[in-house]
Parts: sequence; C-alpha cells; structure tokens
Amino acid sequence: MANDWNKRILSQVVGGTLDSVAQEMSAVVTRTSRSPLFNEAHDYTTGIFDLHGNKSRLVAQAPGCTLHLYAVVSAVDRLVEAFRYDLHPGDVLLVNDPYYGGSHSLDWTIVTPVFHGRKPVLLPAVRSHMGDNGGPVAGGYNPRSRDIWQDGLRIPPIKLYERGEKRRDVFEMILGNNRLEHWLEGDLDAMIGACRVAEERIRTLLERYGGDQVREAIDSRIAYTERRVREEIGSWPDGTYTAETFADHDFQGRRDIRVKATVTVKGSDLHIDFTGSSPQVSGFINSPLSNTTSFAFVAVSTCCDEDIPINEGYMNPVTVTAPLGTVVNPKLPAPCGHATACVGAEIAEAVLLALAQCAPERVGVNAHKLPLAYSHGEYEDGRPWVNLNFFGYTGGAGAAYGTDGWGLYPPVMTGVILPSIEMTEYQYPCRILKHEYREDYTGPGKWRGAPGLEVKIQHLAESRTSVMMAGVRNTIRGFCGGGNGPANQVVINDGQPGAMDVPETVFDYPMPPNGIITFQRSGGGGWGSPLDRDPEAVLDDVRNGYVSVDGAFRDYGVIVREDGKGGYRLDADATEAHRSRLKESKRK
Amino acid sequence: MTVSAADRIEEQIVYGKLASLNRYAGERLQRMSRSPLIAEKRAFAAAVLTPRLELAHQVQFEPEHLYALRDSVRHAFDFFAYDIAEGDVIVTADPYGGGTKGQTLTLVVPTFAGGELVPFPAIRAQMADMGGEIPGGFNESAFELWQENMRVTPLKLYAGGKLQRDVHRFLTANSRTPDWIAADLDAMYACCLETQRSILLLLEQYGGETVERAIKGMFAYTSAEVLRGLPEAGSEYVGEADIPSREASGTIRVRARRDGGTFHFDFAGTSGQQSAPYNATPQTAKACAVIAAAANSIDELPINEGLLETFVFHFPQGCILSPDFPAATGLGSRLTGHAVAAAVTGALRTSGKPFVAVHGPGPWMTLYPPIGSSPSVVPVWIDPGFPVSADGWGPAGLSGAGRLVSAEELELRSGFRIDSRERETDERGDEGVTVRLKVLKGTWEYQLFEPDRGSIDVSEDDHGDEGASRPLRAGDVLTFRYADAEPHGGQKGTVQDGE
Repeated sequence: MANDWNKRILSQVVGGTLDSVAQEMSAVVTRTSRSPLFNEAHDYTTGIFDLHGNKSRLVAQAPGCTLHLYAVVSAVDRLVEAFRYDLHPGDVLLVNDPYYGGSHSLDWTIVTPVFHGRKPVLLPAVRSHMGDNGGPVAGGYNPRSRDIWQDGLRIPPIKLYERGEKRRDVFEMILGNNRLEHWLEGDLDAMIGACRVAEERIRTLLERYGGDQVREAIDSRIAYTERRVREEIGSWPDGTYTAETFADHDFQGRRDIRVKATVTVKGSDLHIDFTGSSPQVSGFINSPLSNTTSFAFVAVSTCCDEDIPINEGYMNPVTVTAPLGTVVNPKLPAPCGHATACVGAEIAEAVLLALAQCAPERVGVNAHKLPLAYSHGEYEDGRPWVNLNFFGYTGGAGAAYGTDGWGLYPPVMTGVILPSIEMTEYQYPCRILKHEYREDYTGPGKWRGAPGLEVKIQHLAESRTSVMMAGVRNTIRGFCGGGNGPANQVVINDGQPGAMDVPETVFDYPMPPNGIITFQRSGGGGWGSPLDRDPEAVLDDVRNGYVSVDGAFRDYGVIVREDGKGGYRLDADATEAHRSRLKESKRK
Repeated sequence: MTVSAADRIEEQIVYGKLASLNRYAGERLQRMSRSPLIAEKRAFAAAVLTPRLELAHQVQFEPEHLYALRDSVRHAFDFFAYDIAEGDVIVTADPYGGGTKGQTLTLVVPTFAGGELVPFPAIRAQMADMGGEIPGGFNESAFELWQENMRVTPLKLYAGGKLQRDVHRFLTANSRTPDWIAADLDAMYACCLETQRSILLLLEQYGGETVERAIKGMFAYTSAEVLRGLPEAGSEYVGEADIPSREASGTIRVRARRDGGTFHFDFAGTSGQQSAPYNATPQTAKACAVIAAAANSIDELPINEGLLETFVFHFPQGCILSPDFPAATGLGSRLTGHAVAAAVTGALRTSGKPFVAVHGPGPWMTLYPPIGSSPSVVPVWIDPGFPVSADGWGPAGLSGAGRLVSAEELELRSGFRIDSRERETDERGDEGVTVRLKVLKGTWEYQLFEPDRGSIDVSEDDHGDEGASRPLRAGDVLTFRYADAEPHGGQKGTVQDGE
C-alpha cells in the first residue's frame, strides 16, 4: 500500500513538474519572441511528449491556444516518423505542413528530442501561429486559394539543427520565404529557446528520478486523466447522437457547407464520425484530419471537468473518423489556410450539438465563428507590416449550463489573450477607436452568450485589407433551447466614400490613411429557453447596457420600465403574465 | 614550330576538351531529364567554373543564363564560405541571389583534388513548378517574388555525399510537379557527376597548371574578339527603348562607351521598378545587353569569363533592372530583357557599325489543369512559333536556341493539335507567323502573355461559347500571331562625342 502511495505521489510530482516545465516554456516564448502574435496575443501552445512504441504521447501541455490540442500531437507524430532512425541529441525539428499532421500552414511546430540512456524519451514542443508564411498573400490567409501552394510555403518535416549545429542554409531558406523575416528569426529562436529550457529541466528530472520512474509516473498520470474522462463519458447514456451545422461558404461561391457529426457513446468510449459532411471544397476552409480531431477534442474537453490534466489520457477514450475527400478530411492538394477558424468552428459546434442530446448540462460555450480581417502595409522605412486586427475577433463565447457566456474569447482560444491597445498602437500604425459591448447582440437564453461587441480600428497609414466573413448565414448556435447569436458584420473604410459592407469576402481592399474598419461582432449562443432566465438577471443586463428594454421584452418576455430616477425597474407581475402567455403560445 | 606555339596548340586542345565535356553534359541532360522544359525546350545551361569562380565554359540555350549561372554559383559559394566540402551539392533559385526568376534553379557540384578546389560543374535549368500562386511560376499579377515561386536560397542538397532527405522533401513538397522536380534534380546531379569525373581525368592527364593556362588563354582570346566588334573609345552611345508590352510601361535608357579593354553600359535614367512582374534582375539585364552587343560574333565565341568580364555595368538601385527585394521578376527575361537589348542595339548602331537586332518577343501561354484538381498539376508551356527577327531570318537572338515545340509531342502528351503554322499577312498588312492550335481534350486554365506586337486569340469553341472568360476545353481554338520584328527594332539611339 505504501508503495502504491509513493507511486501516486511521484506521479503527481513528475506530472506537476512537467506541467511547470510546459508553463515555463510558454513564459520563455512570451518573453523572448518578437512577434506580437506571440508576446501579446499568445497564439501558441507549449507541450511535452514522450515516445510510446511508434507513437508519441502528449504528457503535459500549458494553457495556450486550445485549438492546437490535437494538431500538435499529430505534428509531433509526423516529425518522429520522418526522422525515426535519424534522431540525435541537439536536433531541432520543424513542420508546418497540413498534410504532415498540421492544421493550416501558418501554424508551425518545433520539437527537440531529449535523450536519456541513448534513447529519445521526451520531446518538448512549441506550436505557434506565425505572422506570415510566404506564398501569394501577406499574412497567409488567401481567400482565393485553390490549392495548398496558394496557401503558402509547405514545410514538411525538416531539421533546423542537426546534432546541435544550426543548419544555416535551411534556416536562411525558411527566413527567405517570409515577409516578416525580422520577426520570424526571433520567434523561431524563442520557440527553440523554450525547448532548450525544457530540455535542461527534463534532464534534471530524469537524473533525479531515473528514466523508469519518470515513465511510470507519466503512465500513471495519463491513466488518471483517462479514468477521469472515461468517468465523464460513462455518465452519459449510451446511444448514437447526430447533429449537423453549416459553414456559410468557402469564399469561392459554394455556400452552406455541411459538417455532420455522429457521436456514439458506448460505455466509457466515445466515437465521433463525420460521415455525411460535405465533400472537400475549392476554397481554403478544408480541415485536415488532425485539425478536425483537434476541434472534436476541444468540444469534448469543454464537457469535462477543468481540473483534469491535459494529456494523452484525454484522447484515449475518444476516436475520430472522417471520410477522405470531405471538408473534414481533404485530399492533397486541397487548400486549408482558414481551417482553424472555418470549418473548425463548425466541427466543434456539430460535436457539441450532438453531445447536447446526451449530456445537455455539459455542453455550451462553443467555438466562435469569427470574421477574419487582416490588413497589411508598410512602415515608413519600407518594412512590411501585417496586422491581424485581433480586436475585431473578440466575442462569440457562448453560455453553458449554469452560467452566462463570459470573457472575450470562447474556449477554443483559451490562453490566447487580447493584445494591449498601447502595444498594438505602438507596433502598428493604427488606433483602436472603440472596443465595447453592444446591446442586444448575443444569443439569448436561460443563460445568455457573452455580449457581442462593436469595434472600430483605424489604420493611420495607407493599407489593404482582406475580409473573410463567417457566422452570417449560419450564425453561432445556442443549446437546449437557447437562442442563436446574431450575424457578424464588417465594414471597411467605414463612414467614407467607398465604404464596403463585406457580404462574404473581399480581397486586398485599399484604404487611404486614417481609414476605419468597423466590426459588429456577434456574442455567443444561449443555453436554455430565454423565458426561463431570471428576470432580475435580465434587469441587470438592461442596467449594464447588454440588453435594451425592447430586447428584454422581445427576447426574454421581461418587462422593464424606467424608474423615474434615471434607472430601471422590473415589472414582475406584468413579466410573469407576459411570460405565461408566451409559454402557453409556444406550447400550443 | 616553336615551343610557345606548341603550348598554344595544347591549350586549344585542352580547352576544346573542356568545352566538349561540358557540351556533353548539356546533351546528356536533354536525354535524361523528365520535364519537356529541359528535354525539349532546352531551358537550361551547363557550365564549368574555375576555382576562382570564373566561368571557364558555358553551353546555354537561353540568353538569361549568361551571367546568372556564374553569379548564382558565386552567391552560393559566398553563402557557404569555409563550409564547402567534397561531396557537397548546392542548389539555389533566387532572383536576389544571382538569379533571374524563381523557377530557374542552379545546381553546383564543388570538386576537389588533393584537398583543393578545382574546376567544377554546374547546371542551371528551369523547373516545371516551384509552388507560388500559378503553376509554372509566370504570374501576370505578381508583385512579390513569393507570388511567383518559393525562394530557394543556397541549400545543400547533398552534404559530404549524403542526400539531405529533408531538404529534398522540402523542394518536392513545394512543387505541383514533385516527380518531375525529383527526376530533373537527379538528372542535373548525374550530369554534373559525369562532368566532374571528366574534369578530374582532364586534370590528371594534363595537370592543373596546363588546364588553368588553357582556360586563361581562351579568356583573353574571347575578350579580344568581342572587343573587336565593338565601337572604339572616344564617343558615348546613347539608346533607349520601351518595354514591349501592352500591360507595362517603362523605358530602358543606356549610355555605352568603351574604356580601354572594357566596355561600359550605364543604365541611369531607366524607369523605376514596378509593382508587377516586369522587373529584371541585373543578371537578366546584363545577359540581354551582352547578347545584343556581341550579336555579330557571339555564335562564334566560347561563352566564358573573357566575354563576361569585358563588360562593365551600372544599374541604379531601385530601377526596373535592379529592383529592391522582394519585387517580382518573372517576366524580366521574356519582356523587359528585350527592351534592354533594343536600347543597346539602338545605342551601338549610332557608331556606324552594323549591329544585328536580337530583340523581338513573341506571345506565349502557360496552361494547366484547374488549380487544385490534382496533387500533380503539370503546366504546359506553349510557344509554338516565333517572331522573325528584324534582320529577316529565324527567330530573334534573344529567343535563344530552344527548340520549337514538337507538334506530335504536344498532341500526344497534352492534347493540343497544331492545325497550322504558316507565314501570313494580317489585316494591317504586317507579315508574321501564325499558329493555330485546337484543344482536343481536358480542361485548362491559363495565363497568356502578349507583347506589344503579336497576340493570342482564344476563339469560340464548336458550341459558340466565348472562350476567354472561362477555362479552355475541347474544341477551343488558340491562334498565336507572331508579328515580324520591326526593321529598326523600336529602339532609338544617339551618339555623343567624347571629350
């Protein structure tokens, strides 16, 4: 018994250490990188893997961009596979190719093997969204893309360092194919540096406890996670649950692209099958299987307790299948540049809508359907800048059982933080004129989505902007009777002659200096019937400017009146009578 | 017979052998390569360089390689300075590293004897596809080089004789024709290895000093011969010409003068770089200028350092002939280079000497199955005729020595039937070659490139649909019209007396 306790304690110690190492890696990336995507937005994920037979296993992961969850696992697998008999201490491996375990080619994964007893045992990894990836379009989002080469540079598994020696030619070539070379070099160094720090910590760990004990501890921790996830799944009734949702379009004329998820719960096993989803499309929203799996796991993980350690144990009870040649598992060379937003959001949404049928009190929050708008131009010295207009993407966090939607980003972006306005204005020639919650712009429900926002970004220099709309025809969904979110809207050059209210997409739209982009960004979906929302909560929302008096009446059946003192009061009797009538009419 | 005469004969023999083994590399490459760009169109050059990175001998079938092969090799050596070893094979395809356009790749095999670098082979060839926005790399709307191709800065494909599999995988993964790229890289490497073996035999047979002396001797001969055909010192010859394109506007201006043993071209006053693919790299511009200046003698002369170093160039940075990174350069050779040659010819003709015009671009197309339709989208380059040169026979010199596409191959492989290829007089009374092709099968997207003289008509198909607004399909007819070059080539020139 004592021995068992010792093992459990050791497992906690080793697991906690590895979690700390992953978090330290994250801190290193933040503090040493150059790109605001890293040091401001934290659009990256750090993790540690081990090798288990022919497959790598996720051992620890720091909170980061959750949508990388499985894509990084798959990328590490492809790297290990490519260099299986050619791995050496000091090697640094890089991959970004969607067809080598990636998601979209803007997400790059760096891995360094850590050796113990002449064998690679643990592999620290960093997966990050880069500011540019060469190819036809600055910033890497090319709505006109029709194949993977029009998305940008493909980096299949390649070594940046070999036995500790930098391969200067490979490094220079990677830099030479990027518009943001001045950032990229520092960012790659930051990613590699984070892995090097992890290497040192892992060595210390291995020297202290020995390889066998560390492995046992890792196995035990993965088993713990698996047990917890299986307990959760096991609490759901067995059965097959199907749901479907739609992406608005593929940016090249095809509309209402179906993502269908059939979820089968059998004991503590969960199988997610995407058969019935649309065939792959011409546009760049095709989701490689690793990205599809990643978003499916994001959906499942939001249904589980948050204290469960993120590791391979999360994935063991869940299997994902998708027919080859569909929008959720395309064949080479289908473009994938936008897959991490669209159809990624729909993948998570379809899985959650299916799970809502068996675990209604566990679903909610959702992945957001964001309108992507990136701008580019030149600094005064001629260097290029690419601004992803992060402030326009906030919003979309849905409600869950027992809670309104909260925060600015939904869970799929956990760990990604909003850059500081001051740094954004310092780094780019722009001003954030407005970033405010907007009234009546979210999904109503017993618990409502986080409020939508109105955002105005002014670009001080001449610029060009490409916009890729989503969540307009098929807005973000509510759950269990909750209302859907409203439609997103983006206007370029707002208030000026030549203003463009973007219907679906616009490419490289020119804006003169001081042009303004306005985002009307949808809030999230609601959970449960809005008629069941506590009227006092609705009154609070009116007082806070999230819901108008008309909206309270229209969406929630709540009657709020002015109190004559410049404020509002609830007319409880009228509300009760009105809601009774509404419920009766609904029942009929 | 004196000893020195015997030495000269031996030098001629040795240089002749060197030239032969290099020409043999070129012949072999045509037979081994997979892409029709190399095997049929001969869009390549093969060379031997000296340990001082001088061009010992070059065989080329397109003018653009004249300086670009040597300069790409020099760039690669500079990059890997102190890190080049036996067994290394370096590749590079970088318009900003000695190249011309991104899809033309240089492969170099440094060669060592007794631990010292000795003459070594290199091949420069156009690849079928190197990623970018448009299959084949010619992108009429590109304004940055990444929109044309990936950029291959110097890379070791082999290190110490060992294939760098990840680098090879990188190169092929970034091509829509991965099998062709792999096969063509293999062919280039194999040809260089054979040349390397022959060079080592030559060195063994004659010794390094003799080989070096033979090469140097031929440099001097070539330089003297090319100078003989150029105007004398004392005057400055000024020329200008417009870019021969309907889409681009810009003027090339040149001032030419002889200064002792060198001939100078100053391109000050040339239009600034463009946000379009009409920029030419200095290597393209130098090649076109020299082909124009040496037009009367270049077919008789070996291409070597003696030719290259006879000319001195000045390009203002930021002009269309020396653009700032990362400007697109894909159409520099095919269009802007012709304006360079026209301006040079115009300038030199004012000396009173006859200079054959070498410029006069024709229209061409790249066609490809719909982008994204297959993992391997193979572009087809169609350039089925030629504008007759201003001097009345054959294609203009800048068309190089590429072969006209074989009608049978084109029909068999790609499904385009050449229905006619005739000299005709058009409605304006201009004479020229007209080629009509019919699409027999498949669906084809395309990019077409029309200079100011000459055109391509995409005509209605059998069903009466307009062809120009949609991909081509069976029944569509393409009509290429190659207008004869203008008698005076569209260039202007004046002579200014020197002091």
